Amino acid sequence: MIGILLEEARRRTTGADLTYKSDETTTLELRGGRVSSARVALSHGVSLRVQAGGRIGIAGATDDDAQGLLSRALASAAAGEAGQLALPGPSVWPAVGTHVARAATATVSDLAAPAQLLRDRLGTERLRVAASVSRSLGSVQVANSAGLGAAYDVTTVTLRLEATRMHGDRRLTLLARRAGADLPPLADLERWVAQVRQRLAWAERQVDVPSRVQRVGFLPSTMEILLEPVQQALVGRAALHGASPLARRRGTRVYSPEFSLVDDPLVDGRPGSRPFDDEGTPCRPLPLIERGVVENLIYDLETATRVGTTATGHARRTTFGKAQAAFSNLVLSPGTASWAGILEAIGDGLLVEQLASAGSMNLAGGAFSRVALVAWRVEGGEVTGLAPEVTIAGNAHELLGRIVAIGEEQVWIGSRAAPTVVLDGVTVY
Amino acid sequence: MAARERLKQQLADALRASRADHTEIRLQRTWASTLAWRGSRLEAATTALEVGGTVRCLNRGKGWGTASFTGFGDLRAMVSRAHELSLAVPLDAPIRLAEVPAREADFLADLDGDVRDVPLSDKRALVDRLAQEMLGGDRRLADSYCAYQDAVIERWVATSEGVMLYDIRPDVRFTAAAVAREDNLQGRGVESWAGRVGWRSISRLEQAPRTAGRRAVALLRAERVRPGTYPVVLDPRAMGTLIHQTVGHLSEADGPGAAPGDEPILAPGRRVGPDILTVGDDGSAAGLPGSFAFDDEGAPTQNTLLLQHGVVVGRLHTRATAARAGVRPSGNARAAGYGDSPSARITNLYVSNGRGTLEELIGGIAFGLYCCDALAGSLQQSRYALTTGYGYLIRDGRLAELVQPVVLAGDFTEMLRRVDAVAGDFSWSPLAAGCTRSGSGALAVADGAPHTRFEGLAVVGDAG
Repeated sequence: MIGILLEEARRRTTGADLTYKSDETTTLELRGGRVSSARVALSHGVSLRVQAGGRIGIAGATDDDAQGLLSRALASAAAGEAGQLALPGPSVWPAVGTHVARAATATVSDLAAPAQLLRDRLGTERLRVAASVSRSLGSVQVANSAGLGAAYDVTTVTLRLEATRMHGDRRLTLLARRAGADLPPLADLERWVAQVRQRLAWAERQVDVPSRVQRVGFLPSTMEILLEPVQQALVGRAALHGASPLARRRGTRVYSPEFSLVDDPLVDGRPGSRPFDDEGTPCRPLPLIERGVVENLIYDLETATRVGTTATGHARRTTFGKAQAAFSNLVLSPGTASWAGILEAIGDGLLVEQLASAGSMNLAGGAFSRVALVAWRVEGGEVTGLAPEVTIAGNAHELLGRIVAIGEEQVWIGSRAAPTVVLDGVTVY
Repeated sequence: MAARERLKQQLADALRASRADHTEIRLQRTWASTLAWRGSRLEAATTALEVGGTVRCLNRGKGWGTASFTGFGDLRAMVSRAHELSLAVPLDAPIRLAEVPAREADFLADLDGDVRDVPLSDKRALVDRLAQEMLGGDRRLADSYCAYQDAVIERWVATSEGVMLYDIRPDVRFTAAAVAREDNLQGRGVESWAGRVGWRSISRLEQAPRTAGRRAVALLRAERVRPGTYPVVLDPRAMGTLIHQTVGHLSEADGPGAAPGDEPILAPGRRVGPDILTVGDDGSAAGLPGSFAFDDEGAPTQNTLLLQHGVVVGRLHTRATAARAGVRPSGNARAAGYGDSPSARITNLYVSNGRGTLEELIGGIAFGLYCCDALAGSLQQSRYALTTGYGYLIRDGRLAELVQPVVLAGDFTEMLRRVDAVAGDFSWSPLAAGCTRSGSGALAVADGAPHTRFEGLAVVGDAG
């Protein structure tokens, strides 16, 4: 279908490009270490963009009717936005691991094994353990009328774990999520088991937390609250619409010098890893914030054309939407603080493990207010017990200018790698 | 033979070929067009044809095996894969399914001017004008966003127990958002609307952009509300969203807090609110976004009371949860997309009318808050959060100055206990955003309520 579609599009338009994605995802739900449901999802879809009459048209389909898809893309162009894109030609793609044969050939038993291992390890802890594991086998194909035609295969294995135990009236739920091209390594699982045991020990004592401005350590699992406003401000489209507080401050120091953030699509085996983006632009690591200084924003072809810069290899296309710039793998650089150093840096304060998804968040301005569902009181540089559900509030842009310490250990959660970060001046009430 | 009849034949053939004890097939074909504006610039004009389905199989002593797919290709092969997956899931506690009546029927909604026949250029002209009107009224309007989407959706549900159902329905949704800026101040206005309508009823969208623009400008100089506890009156949109996020989701028999072995927070017979509070869910109501003749397991939809005079009397069920509870399915088995499995979900959730007017509700409040619209709502464990769209202070029993949107939050059982008056001015709010749960896709729903007063709710922050 792809060849016919592109050939026909070449004849009837001044330019065309398409992304074809196919995927087979197997998902197992496990309760108490046993599989409770199994599903497989097969999908494929093509997103076609054409340039005709000085306008851009977009259409998507999950069926195999190439002529119907092209007709709808041309109709879209007739009513579409004005524009002309310089489509990338063939290129030499960087090497990056996106596919692991062992994950691709794993059986249902292989996929269920990590969750069963965790059930066995934690079986004596009076925990309710639920897990889901999914294995995605995908392929991405990008082609355009400038002669580009390239593809890569992807495996992604995602493991989600939830361990719950009642502590009096308080339900303590500990979550973990791991995603990568390969099956989860044993070391990751053992680390989580050790972490759960440590948390259960800490939770034996429930302590009060004073309402005041204090130092707070944000574990990697809570990094989203700090990084989302920064990410939002680093997307080219936000700059285009005047909604980015960072766009006009490129080259200046905005955050603490300990803070460095890189978008790295060329790390092997992570969910955002890829050799080229969905428009065929080659990928490369892109420093976003370097020692507190704003370095780069991310752009897809269209946004880059509109602001007069070059695409950075961050275009993402779904079957039915237009291309948008999106981060690949975000890597927050580790610091030098050991675990003891992190607790010492907090001194008397809080270590936040899990934030409620609901709450107040001004993505553009950076202000947030969230309930900490799981947080630990730190006194005299030691964890003294489970804190009640307190609210954490502050402004991410300001707080990242008040970094006290950054942990030496970096943890991958999905497509984001981050250490623990200790910040001064966080409101807790 | 019409395409839909050919598909029915394929469905019947695939069901006959199944070796599973129970087989269920659901197919969906969605034709959609989307237009989006940012400021005065058209950002996207796209069309989509999305075709796919899901097969679920169940065998004695085994769990669900599910196969979803794009296209309507080889149904027999998909049935075979789902059957094999079911066999790979041994269960100690068998899954039972409550009965659904066997029937064959087509439900053909009035497409109200089929949007598939309207050129994209006509839709562009309409939304272009609305986008310009929103921005043109006031120089302080610095940014705006308009999104229009229309669709025609066809669905087939067939089971090995003799269900063979088909429906077709139109869907139009529209969102207008405006940002006003002046002297380092900012105001935001958002309006959205969704309906089971076609191109003939498109004039219903006309007011949304102008309203959003006016509100953004008005909020520029609106004061912020200090955190604290206030007597609060919610308008029908805010109340509908709050009850949806709390009572609605906690009534979903396989939803939050409904893990096997857990006593549900909304346990039948438990009093959770005052006598004046009655809540229900009605998938059979006419013409609303969450209205259907049958759910995604083929069960007929119905009006289900959830709270009656403050006492829990019902839950929203799939066939499996209904069998566990020993009741009939409520017609709430809904899947977000063709590739998702159905779960117990809200259709059109409502708070029943009480008595009196908004004026009577605010008349007794010396100092309080009137909150309007809802931009977001959520429930995590027992904590709710509601982000309103805008509001007014209440002073000496009258509406006073406009204030910035706020975030209301707290324990939801405490919130229900604090309902102290329900007005008699019920209205539905068909919002464009739909309903999501635990990362699944959005389902079309409506929320409805009258104005409702609370003796005290906590404002934990502002959202301006």
